[in-house]
Amino acid sequence: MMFSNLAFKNIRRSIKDYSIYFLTLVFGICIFYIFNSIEAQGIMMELSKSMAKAFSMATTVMGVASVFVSFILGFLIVYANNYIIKRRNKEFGIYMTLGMEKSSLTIIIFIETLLIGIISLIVGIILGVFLSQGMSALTAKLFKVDLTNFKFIFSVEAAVKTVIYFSIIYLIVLIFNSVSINKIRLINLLNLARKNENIKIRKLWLSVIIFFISISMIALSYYIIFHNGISIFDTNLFIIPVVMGGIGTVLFFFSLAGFLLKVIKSSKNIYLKNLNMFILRQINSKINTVFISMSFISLMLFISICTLTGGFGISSALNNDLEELTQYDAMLYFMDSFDVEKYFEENNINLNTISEKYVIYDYYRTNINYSDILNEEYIEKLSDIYMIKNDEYIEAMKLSDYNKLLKMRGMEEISLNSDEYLIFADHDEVIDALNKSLKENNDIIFNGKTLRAKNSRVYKFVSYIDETKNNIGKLVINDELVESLEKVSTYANINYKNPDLSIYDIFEEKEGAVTIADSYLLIRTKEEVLAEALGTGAIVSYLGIYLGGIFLITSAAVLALQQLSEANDNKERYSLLKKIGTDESMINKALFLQIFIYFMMPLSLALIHSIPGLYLSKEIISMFGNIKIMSNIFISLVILILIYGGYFIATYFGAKKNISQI
Amino acid sequence: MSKEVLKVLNIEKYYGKKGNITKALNNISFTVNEGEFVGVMGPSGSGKTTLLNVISTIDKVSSGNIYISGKDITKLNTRKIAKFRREELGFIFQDFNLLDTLTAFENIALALTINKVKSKDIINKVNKIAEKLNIKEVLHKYPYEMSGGQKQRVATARAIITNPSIILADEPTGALDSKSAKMLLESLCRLNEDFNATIMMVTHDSFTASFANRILFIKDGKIFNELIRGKDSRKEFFNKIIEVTSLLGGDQNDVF
Repeated sequence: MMFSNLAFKNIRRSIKDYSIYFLTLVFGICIFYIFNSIEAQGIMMELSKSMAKAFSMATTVMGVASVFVSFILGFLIVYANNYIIKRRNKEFGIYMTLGMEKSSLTIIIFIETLLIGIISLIVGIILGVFLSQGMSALTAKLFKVDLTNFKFIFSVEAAVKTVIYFSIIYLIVLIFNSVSINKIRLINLLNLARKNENIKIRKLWLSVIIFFISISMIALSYYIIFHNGISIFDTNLFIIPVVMGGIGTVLFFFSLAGFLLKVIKSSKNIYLKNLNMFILRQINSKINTVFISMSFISLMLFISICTLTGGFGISSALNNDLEELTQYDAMLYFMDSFDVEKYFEENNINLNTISEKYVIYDYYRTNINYSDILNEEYIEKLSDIYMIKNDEYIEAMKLSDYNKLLKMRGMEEISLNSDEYLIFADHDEVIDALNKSLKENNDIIFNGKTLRAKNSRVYKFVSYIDETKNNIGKLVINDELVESLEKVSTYANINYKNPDLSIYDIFEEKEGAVTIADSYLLIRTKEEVLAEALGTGAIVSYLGIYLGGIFLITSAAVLALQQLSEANDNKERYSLLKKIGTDESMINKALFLQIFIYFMMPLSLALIHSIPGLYLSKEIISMFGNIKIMSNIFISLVILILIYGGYFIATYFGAKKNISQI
Repeated sequence: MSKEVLKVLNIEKYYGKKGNITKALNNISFTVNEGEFVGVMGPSGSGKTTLLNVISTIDKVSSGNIYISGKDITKLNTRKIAKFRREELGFIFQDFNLLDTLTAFENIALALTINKVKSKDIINKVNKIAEKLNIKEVLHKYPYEMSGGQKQRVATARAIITNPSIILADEPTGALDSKSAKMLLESLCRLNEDFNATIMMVTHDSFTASFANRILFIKDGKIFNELIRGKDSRKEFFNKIIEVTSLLGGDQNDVF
């Protein structure tokens, strides 16, 4: 059939002309497949029940993220197709002058889209299948499990999902294409070869003014972020730097080229040197039409840098504190004043059946508040902690309970004089503040009796199982002082006799938080917390890498397409330069600089944006634990340079090939 | 006798392969002296554009030699060709070929910046040439803001500003209305007289050609005739051109 013949030939040419677009499609499909095949990778690992739960959670989150990603990729594909169709208008014009009907034209485009879709899906999924094998090594590492039986995995589910999602995208592209073909008029098509883009030249001084406005908006939003730090999320204040930074970014690109032109123009020596004015005018003429997409690209790169860095960072952060937080095998927590021993007796519960050692301990309400111990300046400083901000009372524990816990952990027991108390905590920031406060004044008045802190320092001790360190200070007092106090909660810390036993052997079906008798029981096990933390870490890491990667290739591809589709205009311009005798090397340098500046404009602002961005994400991550952010920034920069730089180089050589065909 | 600027010696240009050869230029020889304004006329397909292309080093000859200011340009390598073009040649194209992103001033200055001329000299030179060509008031404008005549004069300014040995004009009035065409041709004559600029202009229009001092007629790749204006008025010269073109079977004959 003639149409499919034509379509085949067109595709062969398109793949050559738009190889960057085609490669981006393949990468997009490949990444999409990989992150949707995570569930299938589980076969290779021996996963515990809670680990499997975390695993399926990761799968669910990736599914949601994939919808978002498909929107991003769908936008890219529609956008790129529009560009390509527009550039091919002259070709369509020729078909139509030869008497081809619009419906036939639509059929050709349909076949082309179908073929491109099939080819990219096949190549993308094959690539994805191979790369996902390497991915499972990362998965195993994130979940801290061994790859027990390495198998070559092909996830049918992920492949089917990929095909469905991308088929929908291609269908939408098809609709867009048909609409734009139906809109074309022959007379316009044939005239399109002549320049159709109206060059809007703005007053340069206007650009200068807008440039300074944009810079001050961006600077102000940075200031707000650095000034408020992480507490910015507590208030609605957060929206201000986001909106202002966004508008500032758009205005920045709206005015940047004009501003640069104005500045460089004022130095005639630079402006009138070699092809400098040509390069600047090239950029200035284009930026008027692309500043919006430029702003989006810059913001996408910014998000990409932050999510990639965060993605690599968070799982190591989560794992740092984890060891200290999982010193016991299981923990029971009973809320309110509740007679646990009686409850156990009545219900025939004997912890000894599973436990080799266990400790039951209580907390009591006191009349000591945080402000009684912490100095004012630290209360101010730690105001993002709810309990300190509201100046709640500090709970107290019996010395005998505390010593039992120490003994269970194999630590040396402690004694208190009758006028002494001690305070223990595990939250790093609070420990710091408490230590400094205790050095100055550590007396508390307890039921009319003055007590002082033993050794004037905080004891660092983790008494529970949880995902994060959250003990911001508990008192330990002599047993007799507790008698008059109201009990607020009871804990039981348990170590299993052997690893096959579980707390759920006793408390069947009591996973999570449940109501029992007239209390409220929460069970936590070491295994759950580890799985949950590793799962969270893995999810956040995957999300960061997934979204960061997609954003990165999308923005680089849009930039590359814009540059390459400009080729026809450029071809004319560069051929004129050649005709009037410009050196080949000077022309190549101009082309290089033009594309380099184009790629660097959004990247450089994105890099500057990521300074406050990373500052914030470091603060967020540090809530989970400490990380070495520098090495993560380094990793994401390397990835950025490789991918973005790759697109840049490919674009340059593509454009160079194009102009050397003159 | 004044200096020879251009010397074309037995040049030939073939297209096609063995057995199917088209001779676009068939053994053409002529010389152009300094300060001459030479017109090249001929019907479509006569080879006049090919001639211009090989002289401007855009195309290569199959055999023969072309000397410009004594240099054999058929022997130049790519890098030297670029240097030669920007130093020795000035181009005026039918469709102006101005860069749409640059102002008139910048378009003219471009010819100097690629020659690495100092910025101060560039500004002086551009202003001086703009005055001569009556385009001072459009210097800050972009091509799309100018009339065709203004554009072509800007292009002329760009061609002449480097003081080239020879200016090559390819149908310079092709895209202009008659009034703008006349204005442009008058400026070319002025450049020719005042600056002693050497101009070689390809055209198929007898009126345009009548502004030259000497006209070479080309037909089927060969020089067919040569007319020298001498002391004739432009009107008389124009009539002579018409006579030759009707002999030549060019455009004017097509109507019969």
